[in-house]
Amino acid sequence: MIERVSLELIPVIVLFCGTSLVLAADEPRVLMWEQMIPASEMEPAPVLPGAEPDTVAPNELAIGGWTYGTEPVAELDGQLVRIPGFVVPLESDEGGLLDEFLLVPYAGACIHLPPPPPNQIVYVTLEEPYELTSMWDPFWITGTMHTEPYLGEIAQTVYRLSAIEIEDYEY
Amino acid sequence: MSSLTTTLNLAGHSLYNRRVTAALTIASIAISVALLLGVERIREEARTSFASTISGTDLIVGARTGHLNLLLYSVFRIGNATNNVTWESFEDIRSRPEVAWSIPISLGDSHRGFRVLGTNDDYFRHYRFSRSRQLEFAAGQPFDAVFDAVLGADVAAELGYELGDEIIIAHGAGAASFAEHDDKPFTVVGILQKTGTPIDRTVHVGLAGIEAIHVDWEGGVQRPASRRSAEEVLEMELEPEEITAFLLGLKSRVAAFSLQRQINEYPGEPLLAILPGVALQQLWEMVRIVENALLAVSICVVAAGLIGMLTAILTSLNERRREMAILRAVGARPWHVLMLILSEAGLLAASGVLAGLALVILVTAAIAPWLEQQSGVFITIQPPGVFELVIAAAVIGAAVLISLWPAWRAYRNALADGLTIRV
Repeated sequence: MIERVSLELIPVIVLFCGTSLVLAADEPRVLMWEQMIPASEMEPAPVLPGAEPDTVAPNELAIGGWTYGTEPVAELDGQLVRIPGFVVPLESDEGGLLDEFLLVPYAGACIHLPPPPPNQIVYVTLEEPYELTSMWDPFWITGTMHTEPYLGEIAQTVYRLSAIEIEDYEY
Repeated sequence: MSSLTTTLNLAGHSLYNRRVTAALTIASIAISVALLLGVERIREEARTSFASTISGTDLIVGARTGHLNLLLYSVFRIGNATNNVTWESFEDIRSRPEVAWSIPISLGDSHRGFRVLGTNDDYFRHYRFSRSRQLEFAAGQPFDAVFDAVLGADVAAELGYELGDEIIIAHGAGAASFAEHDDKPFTVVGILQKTGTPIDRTVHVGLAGIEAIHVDWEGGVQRPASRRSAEEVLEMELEPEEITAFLLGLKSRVAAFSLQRQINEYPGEPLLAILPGVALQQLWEMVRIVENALLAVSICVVAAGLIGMLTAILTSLNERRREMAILRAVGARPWHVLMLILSEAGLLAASGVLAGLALVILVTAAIAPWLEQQSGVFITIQPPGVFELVIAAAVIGAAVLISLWPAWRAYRNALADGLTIRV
């Protein structure tokens, strides 16, 4: 009788483990903006004795391209992530609902503040169009991240996200 | 339940007996519901209409004014620019490596109230609206010669123009102008298909055409001394020196940020670059306060309509005590009397809601052409959706709820009066 009970329990156990594995795999990774900068760009430039400190101000943009911030973190490609940020609307669908947007780390990037570098911007496409109420409110965006190399003057998007969910950010 | 249908039947007859009062009550509910549904409908349609006017454009650039101003005059033909952009700045910016395509536009003239837009072939190639639709021709082709014009669908329909007709462009954007370019008529060579955007109400000509008609004009006046005929003008170099604004499509959407910044800091002249999506969102956020205020007012008006209904039922209670006694005499229980009052309220509200729905559809159909002309908002007549159903349910539910008060009164009266009453 004990054997029978345990035999019947086996599929239950397998199902349970399987489900929890699947759920664990589906758990999106919470991503912070600093984690989107590759290690190669985090190193401070070596200071040579007698040399001038770095004179390229962060806001000085080389015409046609950026001098920094162009490398993605390659291992983020294909990962399910959850990232907070501010929405810069690009396209709406026929009903006027938001469809495509850029996600940036701070509000006002599209208006009066200097723009963030390419690896601090995510180009997001929404599966389900959303009614955006404010560009000044932060949101959590969940979806699969894709990375692409930034090809110099013919600028490509470095980070692309196919979003499955957009939620309000609670402080 | 047969008793429910009996009650409803009785309620219907009872209301018909007092049909004047009932009609007035229904009318007040109908008007208030129509107001609420109308406000919401126009809000939705305006949003959809504006959002679908332009698509796939990364930046709009013009002389430095303000975000909304630039968006409204360049895309929606509402408002005016305060200054122009030099052709040099345009050529410089459009030759940047990030730029995939560009569309120059020149505004300032009109034809019988319709705005004239000067542009080039890129307009027909690259302009997108309603997510990804391209401009298509109902007849004819894009302009080629200097004095060719392409009409939007509504211009041709309202003024009865066909291919080959001649039109005179006037200076300024008003409905009439006393400064016309009548020595240089344009020929209609193309008519666009209806788009449901301000394009339908625009006359398109080439930039060379705009230059040609202003060749002998200075300071908004045609100078007789330097007057040139149409033939003479065709011999001249018609390179544009200024345009009003231009649209840019970029090779990467992310590049919009940095290019926008460069244009805003352009040393050559004061320019402004906007992302159309962002500017539209700013427009909605500004308008949101007004929208919410309108919605709140509409809800108050519906409440007023329902209170009117409540008043009508309450005041009639006293006169109907004999009626209730008669009903009791033929076998009605007190709770039947309660149900009767509730059913009357429900019927009044339901009729009011239906009438309101019909009213809002009629009124929006009637004002749609006027609204289109005045503001570029295109209202489509749509069947009732989820919002309408929710409002209907809410109004009928609220009516039945508040009528519990007179229903309870009638119930108590029926109990107290029994079969004999002293009126």
